[in-house]
Amino acid sequence: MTRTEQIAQLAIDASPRAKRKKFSPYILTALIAPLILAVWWFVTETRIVPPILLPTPASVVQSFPRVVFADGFGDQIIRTVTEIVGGFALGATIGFLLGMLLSSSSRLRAAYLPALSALEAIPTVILAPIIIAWVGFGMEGKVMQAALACFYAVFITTLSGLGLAEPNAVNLMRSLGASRWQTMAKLRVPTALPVIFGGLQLGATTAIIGAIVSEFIGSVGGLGYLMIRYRGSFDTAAYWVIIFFFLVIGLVTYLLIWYAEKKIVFWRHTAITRPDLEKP
Amino acid sequence: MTTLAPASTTTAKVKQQRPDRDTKGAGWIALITIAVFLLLWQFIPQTGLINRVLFPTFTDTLAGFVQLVSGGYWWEDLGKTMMAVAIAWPIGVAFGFSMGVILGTSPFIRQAITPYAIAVQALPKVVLAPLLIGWLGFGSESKIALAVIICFFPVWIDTMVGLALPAANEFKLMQSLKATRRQIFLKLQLPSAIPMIMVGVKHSLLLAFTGVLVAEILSASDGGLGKLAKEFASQLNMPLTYSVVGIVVILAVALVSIADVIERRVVFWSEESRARKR
Repeated sequence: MTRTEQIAQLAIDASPRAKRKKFSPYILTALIAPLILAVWWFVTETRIVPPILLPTPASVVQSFPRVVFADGFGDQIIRTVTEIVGGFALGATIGFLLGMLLSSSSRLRAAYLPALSALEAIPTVILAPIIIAWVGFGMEGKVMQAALACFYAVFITTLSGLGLAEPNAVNLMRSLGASRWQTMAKLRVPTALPVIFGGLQLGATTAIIGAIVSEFIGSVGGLGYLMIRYRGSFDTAAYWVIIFFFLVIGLVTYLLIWYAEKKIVFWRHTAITRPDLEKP
Repeated sequence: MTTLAPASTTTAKVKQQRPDRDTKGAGWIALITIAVFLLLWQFIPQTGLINRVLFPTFTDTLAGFVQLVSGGYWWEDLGKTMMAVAIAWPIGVAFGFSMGVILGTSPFIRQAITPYAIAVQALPKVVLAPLLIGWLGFGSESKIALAVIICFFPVWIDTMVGLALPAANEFKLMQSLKATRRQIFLKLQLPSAIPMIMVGVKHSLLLAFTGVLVAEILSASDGGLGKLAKEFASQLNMPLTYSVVGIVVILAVALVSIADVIERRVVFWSEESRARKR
């Protein structure tokens, strides 16, 4: 650092704008949670929001042990998580392989992409009654529903990510005598990974939604089944305990994928998912 | 900490990413695939390998479609579903956009609420469906409420991420030219955010449709395409169920096309800006 730069830095540090920055925004973050709790407590105690929709914080906390230590609660959680993980693994694998297949040939892309793009539009929940009619109330239907829900996000991000490699880099690989497979494994897939992880993140969210909706519509077990039962007995506090568990499932999934991305795509530290967002 | 990612994906990029080199015969591949698919659909159920009640043939399904369309009663269900989407979508977009502007203009607030935004994103909002139905009843109110709750989210996030898009130097230039906060927002942040916001708006249309369908499938009495599909499925009348699903698919594709047109009208400059960015 030269002398002038040092002086400039001192001037920046002394400016009011820099001082204001010293408050971490996470202080505000920590303040928001009690605020939310206070608002929740207020609107439920004064009955602005009816208790059938939102019970008081105290009653939810009281219901917690009752719900968690009820017979077979662990089995229900394991059941739902298995459905989500199974469906996500299935849908993401199919999406990834199909994305790879279509990216390898512009002819296949021209033939199938228009029809596959229409899949973006289709609300997969409408297929839930059909799937239940096909395979019944068991876990297979939930796995299928979750797979259907998450397939598209992984497919389209894989396809767009694999096309991101610089033409010059592809030419370099070719001029060094790399095979198609080597170009794919060492150039295209690594380039695509940050984008694909964006798709996985989105897909995980939709897979969870698919599994829940399917459990709501017809099931013999799982957290969604418990929710419908508690709702039937107007036990809203217990219902919110299970919503809390779904929040935990969602957050854990998010963090796991985020952590995997950080470890696997260690050369990039952003989680920006879309190629058109990247700054030069 | 983790960064907030935009809540939607887009296909537009894929379609235009590479010049079409070798697409000769693609039409034939598509045609042959459709033909093989239809033949399998027609003949596998006839062989008795799979249950013909659950997997009706193509012609049975076609007959069901004709029966449904000529029956006429589905118009009312179609109207109910579309009406709910038409009410919920604008509310969700307006709500999401306001949240995004209020919480996204200042980097400080944006950073502070990011953990909460991630939590809201992680919570599958359909868990609220049975509660909303229990509270608002089986009518269109519960459908609209669920659709709004589901569809405001991508608009909110994409607005927030979009408003943060301009580079630090662009902000500095505005400030050095003595632009007010309002001018920075209107002339720099908003124009650069709009392409991304429009992606969120399009995504939210689909989510509003999904929300309405979920509420219809779950609630018992008020009509709608979701309820129609569920009823036919529970009667094991698969040709009619398939037909309702077919109608939903056609509607969804039509809605997306309309949203695409709106997007292109609003962000007419976006192709250019994308090209410049590359």
